[in-house]
Amino acid sequence: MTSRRRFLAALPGSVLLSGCAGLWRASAPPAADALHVRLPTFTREPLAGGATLSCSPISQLATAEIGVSIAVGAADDPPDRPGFGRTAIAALLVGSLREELARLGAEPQIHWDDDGAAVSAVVEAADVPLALATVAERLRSRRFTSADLGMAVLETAPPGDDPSVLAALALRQAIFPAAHPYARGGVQTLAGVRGIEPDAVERHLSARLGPERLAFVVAGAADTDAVAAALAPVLQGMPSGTFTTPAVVAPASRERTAIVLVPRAGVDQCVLAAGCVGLPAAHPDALYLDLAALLLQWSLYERLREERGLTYGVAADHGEARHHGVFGVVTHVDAPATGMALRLLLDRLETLRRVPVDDAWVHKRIAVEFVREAYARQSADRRLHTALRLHRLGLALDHDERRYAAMQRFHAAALMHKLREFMGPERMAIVAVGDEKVVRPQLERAGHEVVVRTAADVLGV
Amino acid sequence: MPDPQTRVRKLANGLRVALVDEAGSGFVAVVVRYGVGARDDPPGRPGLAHLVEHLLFTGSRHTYRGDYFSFVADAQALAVNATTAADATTYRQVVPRENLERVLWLESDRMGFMAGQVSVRELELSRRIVDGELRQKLKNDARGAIYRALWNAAFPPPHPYCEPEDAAALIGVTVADVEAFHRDYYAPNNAVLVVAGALPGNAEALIERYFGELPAGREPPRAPVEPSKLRAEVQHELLARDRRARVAVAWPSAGVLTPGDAEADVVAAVLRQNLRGWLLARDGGIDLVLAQQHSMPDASLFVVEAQGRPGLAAGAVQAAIDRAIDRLARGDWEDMSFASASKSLRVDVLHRRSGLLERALAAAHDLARHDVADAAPQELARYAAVDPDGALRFAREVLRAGPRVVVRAGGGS
Repeated sequence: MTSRRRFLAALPGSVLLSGCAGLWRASAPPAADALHVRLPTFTREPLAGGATLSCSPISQLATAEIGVSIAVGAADDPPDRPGFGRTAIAALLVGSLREELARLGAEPQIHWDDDGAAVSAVVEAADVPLALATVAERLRSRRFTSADLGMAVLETAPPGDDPSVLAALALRQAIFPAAHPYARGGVQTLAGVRGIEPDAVERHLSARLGPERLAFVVAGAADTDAVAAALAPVLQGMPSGTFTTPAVVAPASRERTAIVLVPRAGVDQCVLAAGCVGLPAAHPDALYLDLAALLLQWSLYERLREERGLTYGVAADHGEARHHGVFGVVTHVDAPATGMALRLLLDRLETLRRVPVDDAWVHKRIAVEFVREAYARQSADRRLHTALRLHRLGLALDHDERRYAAMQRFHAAALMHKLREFMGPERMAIVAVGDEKVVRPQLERAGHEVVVRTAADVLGV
Repeated sequence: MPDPQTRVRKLANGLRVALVDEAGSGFVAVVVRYGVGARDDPPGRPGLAHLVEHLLFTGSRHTYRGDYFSFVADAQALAVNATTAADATTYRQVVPRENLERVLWLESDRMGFMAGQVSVRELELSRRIVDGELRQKLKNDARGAIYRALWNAAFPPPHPYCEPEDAAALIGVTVADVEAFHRDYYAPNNAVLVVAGALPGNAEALIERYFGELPAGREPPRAPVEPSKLRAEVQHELLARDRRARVAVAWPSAGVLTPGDAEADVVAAVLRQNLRGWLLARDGGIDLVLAQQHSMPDASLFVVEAQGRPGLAAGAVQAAIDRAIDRLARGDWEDMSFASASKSLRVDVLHRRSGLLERALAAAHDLARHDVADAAPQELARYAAVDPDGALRFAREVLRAGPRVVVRAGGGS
C-alpha cells in the first residue's frame, strides 16, 4: 500500500478520533467535593507541673519537627519596658543552646508573636528525645551567659526599616493605644531593653517561666514514650511561675481621623495597609472575619492586579491572637497610583458591606478552608506549628476540628452582619509607607488628613 | 525512609512522568516542570521566561479565560503557584484526589493549547504585574536589592544569571514573541510531570489521555552558561535607608553537582553553625549571619551575610566577616564542627521531602536533573564523600584566595 493509500485508509478513524478528542478536551472534568480528606490529629499527655507533650506521628518520615511553645507574651512585659520579656526568653534560646542543638545537626529557629515564643528544629528520629530534653533543661535551669544575653538583645532588636516592616508596625500602632501590649507587634523598643541586666532577666523569668506555660510538640518520626521518659526527670520539680498576667482590654472602636504616612524617600512603590481590631482566636465568630478577609483579598486582587496591573499581590488576613486579632490588608502599589489604590480599597470595603453573599458561597468557602487546613497539616512542619500556635493562643488541640464542625451552621446573613460591624471604611486605620513627595499630595487631594510619622518613631529607636 | 510506590515512564511524545503512590492523605500533588528558565531569555529580552509563566495563568484554548483562581478554587486546589528559576519553570498545585482529572486537563491544555489565546491587553497587563513583582522583590526590599547586586556583579549583562530589576526590557514584546517562546520550550519532550499522593486507580490512563495526544516539539535551543568572569574584588555600596549595616560577600563557585559543589555546601553548614559564635566572641554587635552555597547549573555563588548592631559601620561588619573567613581557612575550627555540619546536611536532605508537595517538587527536580525520581541517596553519598581536607581546600582556594563581590548597605553607607 502506498503511503497515500495508507493515509486515506486511516482517515475516517483519525477524523473520528480527532472529533471525539476535541469534544472531551473542550469539556471541563467536573469538580467534586473532597470525600477522603481528614484533619490529622495529635495525642497529648500531661508532663510534670502542667507542661504537656503533644505528638503527631508521620510514619514515612526519617526526621521529626520538634518544638516548644512558651506562653509568655507581650502582656507579661513590665508596663514600661515593651519587649523586655522577648529579649529575656531569647537569652535562653539564641546563644549557647543553639550550639548544643547544632551537635545534633539541628539549626533551631525562634518564633515570636504577641502571645509567646517558640523554638523549633528538625532532627533525625533517634535524636528527638535528647533534643527536646536539651531545650527543657535550658528552660528549667534558666541558664544563660552574658554572651547569650548580648546576642538576645541583638536578635530581638527592632527590625530593619524596610517599607513592609514599617507598614505592619505603624498599622499596629494606629490600631492599638500606645500602652496596649499588642501595640508593638511583639517587637522590643530600645527603651524596653536599655541597660538590661542579667539579674533583672533572671527575676523576670523566674516569676513567669513555669512548666504550666510550656508545651512540647513532636511531628514526624519519633518514639513518644522515649520522649516522655527523657522529659520527665528534667521537668520534675520545676517550680511554677508566680506572676499573673494582667487582663488585656480590647481598645474601643473609633473613627479614623487621619492617614498615617511614613516617608521613605526615593522608593518607587508605596506600601498601603489598612486594618482594625478583630476578634480573639477563641471567639466563635472569628471565622466570619477569616471569610471576610478572603472576600476582601479576592475582590481587591481583581481590581488592583487583574484589571489594572497596579500591584503584584494583595494580602488580607484576620491575624489570630489570644485576646484580639487584627483584621488587615496590605499591598505594594506603584507610588503614583496610591490615591487610586486607596480609593478602590475603600470602595471595596463599602461594597462588601452592602452587596449580600449567599449561603452557597459561604459553605463553599468553608469547605475550601477545611481542605486547606487538612492539606497543610500533611506536612510535619505545619503540624508542629499548629500545635505550637494553639498552645500560645490558649486553645485546645481539637479547636480547629470543633471550629469547622460549628461552621456547618454558619450562614450568609451572619457574615453580612459581621462585615457591617467590622469593615466600615471609616473605622479602618490606614497607613502608607512611601515617598512623601509622591504619595502625600494624592492622599490630600482625595480629602484625607495626613499625619506623618518618622521611621525611627515607628521603630522606637 | 520507606520508599513509596514510585513508577517512572516516558510517553511516546517524550514527556517524562513519575507517579508517586502514597495512600492515606486524600490529596494529590501535581507538578509540571519545564526545562526553560531565565537562562533561556532571548538576547535583549531578560524576563521573557518569567512573563510567559504569568501569561499561562490567563487561560488556554479549552479551559477558561481570565479568572484562573476561581477556576481552580472550584477544584479546591491549594498551594497553586509557579516559579521561574534560572533553568526551570515549575507549575504546582495540590487537590483532593477527586479533582485530579480537572488539574491534568488544565495543565495539559496550557502545555499544548496556548497559541492564539493571549491578547495584547493581557500581555501588557502581565508585563506590568511582572514589573511590580520585580520591583517589590528586587528593588524595594533591602535583602532582595543586595542579592540582585551580588548576582549582577558576579554575572553582569548579558549573562543569563543577571537579574533585571524591572520589566522595562519587556516593553515591545509581542504576542508572536510569546507564542514562539512557548512553542520552543513548552513541549512535552522538554517537561517532567509528577503526580504524587493518593492516586486514583486510573491515574496513568488519565495522564495518557490528556498529555499523550500532545505532539513532541523540536529540541529546544539552549545556550551554555559561562562561568563568572570575575577576576578581582568588586565592591558595591547600595543606597541605604536601613540604620543597621548589612554586608554580603559572594564568591563564584562550582556549578551544581560538579566537583566542589558538595564541599561548598559543607563549608556553608560549618559557617552557619559557628559564625555567630565567632563573630560575637570578638566583634560583639553582629547578628543575623547567613551562609549559603546557591547552587546553579554551571556556575554558582557562595554567599555570606552579616548585619551589625545600630551604629556599627558597614566596614566593621565586613572586617568581621573577613576575620571569620580567615579563621575558617586556617582550619581553626573543631572537628566536631565538621561532623555537626555533615549531620545537618543529612537532616536537610531527608527533611526536604517531608511534605507531599515537597516530595513532588523534589521528584520533578530529580527526574529532570538526575533521571531518577528520588535522588536523596545520591545527595547523601555526595555529602558523605566530603572530608575535612576537601572543605578546608574550598575555604582556602575559593573563600580566601578567590575573586569576590562585596555589597554594603545601611548603617551610614
